[in-house]
Amino acid sequence: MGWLACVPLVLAACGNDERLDDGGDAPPVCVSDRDFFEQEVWGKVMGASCVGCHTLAGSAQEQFAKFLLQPTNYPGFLEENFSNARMVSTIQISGTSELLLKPTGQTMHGGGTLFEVGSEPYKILEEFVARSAAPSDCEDAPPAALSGVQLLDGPHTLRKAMLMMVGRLPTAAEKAAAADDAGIDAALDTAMREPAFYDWLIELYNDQFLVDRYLSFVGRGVGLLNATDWPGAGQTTYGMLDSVTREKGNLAVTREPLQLIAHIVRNDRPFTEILTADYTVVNPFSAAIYGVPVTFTDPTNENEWQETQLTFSRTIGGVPTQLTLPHAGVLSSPMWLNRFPTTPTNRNRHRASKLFEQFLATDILAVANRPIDAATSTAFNNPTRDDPQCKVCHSMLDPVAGAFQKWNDNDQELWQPDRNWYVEMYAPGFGGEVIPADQFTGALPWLAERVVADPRFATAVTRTVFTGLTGEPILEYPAYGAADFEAHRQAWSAQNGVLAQIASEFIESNFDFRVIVKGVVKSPYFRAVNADGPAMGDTAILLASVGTAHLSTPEELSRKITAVTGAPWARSQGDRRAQLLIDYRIAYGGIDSDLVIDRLSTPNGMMSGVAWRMANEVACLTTAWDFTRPAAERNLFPGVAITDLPEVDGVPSAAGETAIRNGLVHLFEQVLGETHVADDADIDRAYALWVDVWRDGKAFVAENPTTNRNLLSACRGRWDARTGVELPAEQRIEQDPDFTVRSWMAVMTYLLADYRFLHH
Amino acid sequence: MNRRNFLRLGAASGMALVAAPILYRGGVRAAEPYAGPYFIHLHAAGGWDPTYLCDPKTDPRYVKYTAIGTEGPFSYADIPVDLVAFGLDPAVTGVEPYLMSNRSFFQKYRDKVRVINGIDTATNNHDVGTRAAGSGKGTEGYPSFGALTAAAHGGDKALAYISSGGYDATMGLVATTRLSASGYIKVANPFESNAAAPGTAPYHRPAAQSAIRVAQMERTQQLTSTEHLPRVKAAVGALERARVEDQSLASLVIPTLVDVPGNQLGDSERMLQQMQLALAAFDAGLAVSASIALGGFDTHSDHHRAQSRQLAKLLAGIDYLFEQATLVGLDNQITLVVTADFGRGPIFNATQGKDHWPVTSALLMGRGVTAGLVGATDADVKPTTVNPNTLAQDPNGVRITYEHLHHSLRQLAGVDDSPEANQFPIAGTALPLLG
Repeated sequence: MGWLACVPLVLAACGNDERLDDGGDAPPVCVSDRDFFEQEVWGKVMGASCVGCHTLAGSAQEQFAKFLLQPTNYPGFLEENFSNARMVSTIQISGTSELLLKPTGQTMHGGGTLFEVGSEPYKILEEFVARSAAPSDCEDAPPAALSGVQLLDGPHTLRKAMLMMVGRLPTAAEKAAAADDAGIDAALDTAMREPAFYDWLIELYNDQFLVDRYLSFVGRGVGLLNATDWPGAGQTTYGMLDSVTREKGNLAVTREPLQLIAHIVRNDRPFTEILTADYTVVNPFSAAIYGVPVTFTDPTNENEWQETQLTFSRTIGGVPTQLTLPHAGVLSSPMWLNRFPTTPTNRNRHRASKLFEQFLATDILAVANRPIDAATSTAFNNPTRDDPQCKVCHSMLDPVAGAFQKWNDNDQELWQPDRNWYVEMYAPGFGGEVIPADQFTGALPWLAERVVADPRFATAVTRTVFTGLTGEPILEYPAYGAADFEAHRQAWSAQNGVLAQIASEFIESNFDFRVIVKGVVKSPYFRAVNADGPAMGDTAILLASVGTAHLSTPEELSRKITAVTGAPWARSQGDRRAQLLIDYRIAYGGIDSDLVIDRLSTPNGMMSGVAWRMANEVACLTTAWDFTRPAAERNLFPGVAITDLPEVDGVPSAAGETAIRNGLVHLFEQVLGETHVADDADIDRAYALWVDVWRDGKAFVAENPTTNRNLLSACRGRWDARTGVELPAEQRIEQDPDFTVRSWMAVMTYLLADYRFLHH
Repeated sequence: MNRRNFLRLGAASGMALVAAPILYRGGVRAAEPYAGPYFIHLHAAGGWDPTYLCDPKTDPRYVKYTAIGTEGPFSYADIPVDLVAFGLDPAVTGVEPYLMSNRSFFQKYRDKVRVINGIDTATNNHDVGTRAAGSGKGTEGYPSFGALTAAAHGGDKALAYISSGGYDATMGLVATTRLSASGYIKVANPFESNAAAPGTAPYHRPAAQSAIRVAQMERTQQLTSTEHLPRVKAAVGALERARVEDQSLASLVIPTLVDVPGNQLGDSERMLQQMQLALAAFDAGLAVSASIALGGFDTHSDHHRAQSRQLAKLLAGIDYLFEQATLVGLDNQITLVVTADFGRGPIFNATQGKDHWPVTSALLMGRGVTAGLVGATDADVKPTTVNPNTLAQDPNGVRITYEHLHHSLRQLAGVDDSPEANQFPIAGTALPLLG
């Protein structure tokens, strides 16, 4: 099997070396200040003891300590803590840094004396203070690297990426051009302009926004809109439309935040516009519902999206007034606001936490979680500001929540510019900056500008694409003292390094979304296909999160079936909707964006049953049909005929065997993306399967040729599997007197149920 | 355990029943049917209000009902089922059987239910509370109780752990199944073009089916030996295990699913259907545990109406579960634990809702559970402390937590010293919470 690009093992520690001497024979290593902080300061001192109190959720924060550390689940925690520790190290009392005085009890320290002057931790901090005063010129060590990993070659990398994102196989020319990274980039750049790519993008972000919940019945999304502001959403307007128009309108309104993202990428806008856009997008159907005066090239085309600003008429002070929504990308989307609703007492905090999670890669509750004691929580008149156990989260959440202040608490998408905010809450703002009161009307755009300027925005987008394409979670920095700490740290370092590099390139490209996709696709996390040898011990930990082992989602598998066989796994000849998306979406581990919002990544018995069902039905639907087509047009059997037999009249046929084996080689490449030669072990096994089935079937036909030569009704080449339309009588294949069609069907079932077909 | 009992549930469906479980295919033997015990975790998602259920109060600042009923050791908020008061359309008939008052519940189950009041969840956060209720730990990285029991008792079963909601993280111990009636018979008989009549029109002849399966096994063995990346090896293994398990799927008969009149109780209907499917999977010997949720408890506004209604749905669901379990002879084999993210209140907010409150209750019924009441809150719904040995009120005692509850659940399920539980230990010590 050939599909590998062997990658040499890489990575050592760092290059130059003057400072750190391990006491052995090796020359001392030049360690940068940042690396010294991670390895020594964080690894042996602060991550072990200081972080217990000096966090937002810790007791030091309650005593107004200047020195605060971010926990390891905070994006970029090392850089943040390095910077903070460096700043604190410069604060001196009588010429000595507080960083040395406090933990040794030489000045007041809420945590008491942690270690003595002259101890190992002291020496580490002492060197850190010295380094802060006279920074080293050593280079940061590169991230840990994944050693001994075999990667998919260029063409197969492209195949995997295109199947996932655009639902087709690369052409011969594209594969030929994908020999190197530049070729992969070029092919992806082209593919990422195909309509199917934007469908994938919508799918990717719906996993976060979950607005597809409102597609569960026609009118559910539109029904959320305030019909006074948007009369086109009312029962006497929208409700009177024909069912097809209503369905298109509901789809357009429901997916508006997702279509906005697709529009921004389609038009090569900076991805920051997903939050900062002062517009949204409508198609002819949603434009009618929102009543916006947009002119369309084709008023019947639901795929034509145009920018607009949502407006509504209100009577203010007795005067009819036309208002325009202060758009802030998806944040002001009626559907996003409804999907993450607020209440009069929640006061937009839920939305704020979702903003942190989706666009700043920050799980507020994980970063600042601490126990709540009911016995003491009523001791404060304003607990969210005054109770330490409450304000740890609310000090971060509430300012952001305040930026949503103009939206109604009960009618989620209703914008009310005259609405006042709560003076007892933290002032609206972000990152310590307060929104000027005279800008409250545009508070959300104000917030959006600052969110996208935060480095965590790029991190969040990078993580979204990474997990979407690899199916792997983001690794956390291991806990101090954890088993196999260094191996886990190396694994984190390797993944963090790749993600940081991609995020950096994303920012440098002025937030070109496609840069992230290309970066992830070319990374070993997407391309790793095997290791040079058994991965044991630390190597197993290091390589634990790489490999093409991502179980396809129902959507991905559905696209793959169509791409590989040329036909969908449709519900029936008349109903062309994909079975995986209608009948088996939930059973196969997918989501409904409503009650089921977490995808399953480990197959269970029921999913295996779905896979077998798919393999049998798709083999049945496509095998005979493919043979009805001219050889040059076939997806599955371009070089073999149903008259090719392994033996004729009991005499082995070399020509027949060769044709069948070559047909198998093509099928392995087409269905699994595996490159084989006609006499290797996989082809031998498949050939043996073909022959076993054929011999049994031949005897079966001989028992009753009149009846047993007929193909099962559903498996006949009588319909065009792409469309469900009946084929001309002369083109049909309805009988299988030599049992070859059914032998190929068996091989197709075998391959379609294979691990590599079901996984990316 | 026998399938015949279950046929009574499925009889009304009109479905043709398969002649016999397909336990062998291509020479690979599927797992033996699992014979119990079974576990169901029912979660009141959003955070219920125990003062409206099993921990009633009289302070009008905290509740808007006036009557408190008693039944044996239990006190309860005596709120009648009233469609209009619940905000339901009384013109839609036939929904009453899907609502149950606290009084009816405690009268019927006073000798079966165990109530734990005054549980200190130490959180007002939905995610943390849901995790803690489901696993005993508020932090991430712990498997749910259902996953733990499924892995320990029957991780090789085709549908070992069924989840349709609540906290269902498995931490890789076992695969989660989303059991759906849609197309199930076709999935359970994947080699049959006519799944309702197995054997009449298979896609492949029996010999071909065996040949395909054998070729797959050989291919899997090859992948297992040649693939070195841990993630790939694990994924190959997981698929192969699922393939072995899938061969027993045909032994499950999908019952006729509950159809609650009208559209107002859609959430109840879904909960009841998931209970039916879980029972079907238990009876077929394919599952060990199930996680089910009913939402609608996050009543930040109009609390009295909405909370009372959702609790009536929840209690009717518990009643339905045990009625159906009794019908198939599983009622003594099932342990049910009912939890919520946290509690609510104690006071009403400006929109007559109740916000999050870190003190809550839990209900338990079924196998291994002794009826009774433990734990308490004070008049202000703050948790009191209990003696760790006797559970009597003790000012020098301890607060009951979800950690304590899960210690007890693990003991009850017989998994407290299992390799799976030892891999995910819970801090603290056990209390004799379950009698």
